[in-house]
Amino acid sequence: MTRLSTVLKQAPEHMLEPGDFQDTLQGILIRVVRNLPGAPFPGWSTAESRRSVAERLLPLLPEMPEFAQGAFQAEMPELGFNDRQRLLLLNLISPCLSARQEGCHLLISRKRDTLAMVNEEEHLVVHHFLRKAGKHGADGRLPDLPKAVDELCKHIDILTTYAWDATGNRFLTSLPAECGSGVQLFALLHLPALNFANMTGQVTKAVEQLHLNISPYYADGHDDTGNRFMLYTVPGPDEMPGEMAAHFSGVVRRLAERELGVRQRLLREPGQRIHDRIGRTYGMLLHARRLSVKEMRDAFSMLRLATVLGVIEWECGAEAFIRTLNRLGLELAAASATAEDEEAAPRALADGCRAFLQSTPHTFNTPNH
Amino acid sequence: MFLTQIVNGKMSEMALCEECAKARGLFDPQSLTFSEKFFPEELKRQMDRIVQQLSGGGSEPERRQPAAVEGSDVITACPVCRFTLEDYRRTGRLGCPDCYTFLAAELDSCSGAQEEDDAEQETAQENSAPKAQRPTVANLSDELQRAVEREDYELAAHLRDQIKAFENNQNPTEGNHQA
Repeated sequence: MTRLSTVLKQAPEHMLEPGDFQDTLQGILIRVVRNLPGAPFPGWSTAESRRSVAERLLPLLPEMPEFAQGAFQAEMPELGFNDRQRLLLLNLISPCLSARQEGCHLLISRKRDTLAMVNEEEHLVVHHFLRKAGKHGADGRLPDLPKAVDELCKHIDILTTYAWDATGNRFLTSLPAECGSGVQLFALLHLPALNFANMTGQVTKAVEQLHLNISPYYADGHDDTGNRFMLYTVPGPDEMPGEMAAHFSGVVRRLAERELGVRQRLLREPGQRIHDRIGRTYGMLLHARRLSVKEMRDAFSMLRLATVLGVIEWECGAEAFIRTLNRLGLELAAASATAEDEEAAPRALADGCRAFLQSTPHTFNTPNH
Repeated sequence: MFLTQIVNGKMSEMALCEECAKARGLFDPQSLTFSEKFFPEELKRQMDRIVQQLSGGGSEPERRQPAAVEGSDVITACPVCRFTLEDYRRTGRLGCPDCYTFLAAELDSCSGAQEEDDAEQETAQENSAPKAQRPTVANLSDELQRAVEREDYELAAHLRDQIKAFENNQNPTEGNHQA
């Protein structure tokens, strides 16, 4: 049994590694939902019926290969406010489950790439983070998404019998419009160039025409915080999971390629707008005395962009720098979210960023033109 | 969530669990309809009804007896979880997998009505969409008016600039073609 302190000790590997396509695609999340027959959906259930659902599901989940090496498991009342905040920041719980109590359970695999949530919006919700294509990512290949979706569904569907409509060939969910394969895909994207070039509106319209949605990753009221976006499929009866995954992969690839194209265009721009923005960000981090989490995320995004574009060269190497930056960003955001002294938090954030930049040897390459 | 109600100067407070609040459309303030926001009497009537329903006590969702429309065989509540069609209309969700079996006919009629509404809206939008034609001050002004009405100020500012350019040059599109 993995302990909570172990789970929270360090961010999962998939959140630290630089993304594929030159740090554009941070990762892909597969969400699968299933319900048990004969039991009220969590939104309409009593604590007693939620406990009964949990008693049916919890003994089965360790049979999934994803949890074979052990898992952290807790009922929601066991998790305090700060624990939930940290789990949210690390993508190790969904916002919906983090607000729930009795009869609702969370399982996190030892590798922290798979979560099983019992009595979230549906009886069983499984999130699986696809590790980046990694070694393959350099030549622009995506992980084999259709295969990953198929495998995960097989591991879930072998456990028990779920609420299924044989006439409509669909899994039943609490929201009638979402009945279907029960599979939803999310891609976590870092799109600083598209956002800088004010092209996110066009991107939104384009992906809507492809029956997908894109939205800011951080739902904190700032549309473009950290230039992170989430592309996702709309759950419904339309497509088979395999076809959906193939279609989704294609759109992710096109979007990443578009981002890379805009980056190159911005680099060649005679007005040097991108260099100006990076320089201002760098100056702010070096001299600011107070920073909000949004400012920090925006600035770190620009540093990541500057690193992959070669505008700033780090002695430790680009990959090691981005890993450290990602870790620092998560740690500072977590410290800020759980800080008791709200007045001191922005100062601590600025101090942390300044100390990091000053202690990491680097060269700032100024453009010749 | 906590519900505070003041009736004739007398304040009453009630704590609702997440399920009760959600099932009654109170979980998210955005779920209030236009009429509830702008016609508080309607909201008050609904609140009174909720308070009345809850006065029996307990924080679990209320389980009503399966109901049928008088004089017909139509089932309006799921006999397994006692979720009603009214609950479905309010929340857009169902109570349990068996609701799909017991409320099937009614769900179809609800979704059919929704589709018709959507189709009507689409037709209305198509009809109101500006046709590809040479812009005039009159139709730009109409568009501006519509943009202001739906609070699309970005488009409104763009249209205002177009009208100004049109009035100055008598032909705002000519410049674009030349560029």
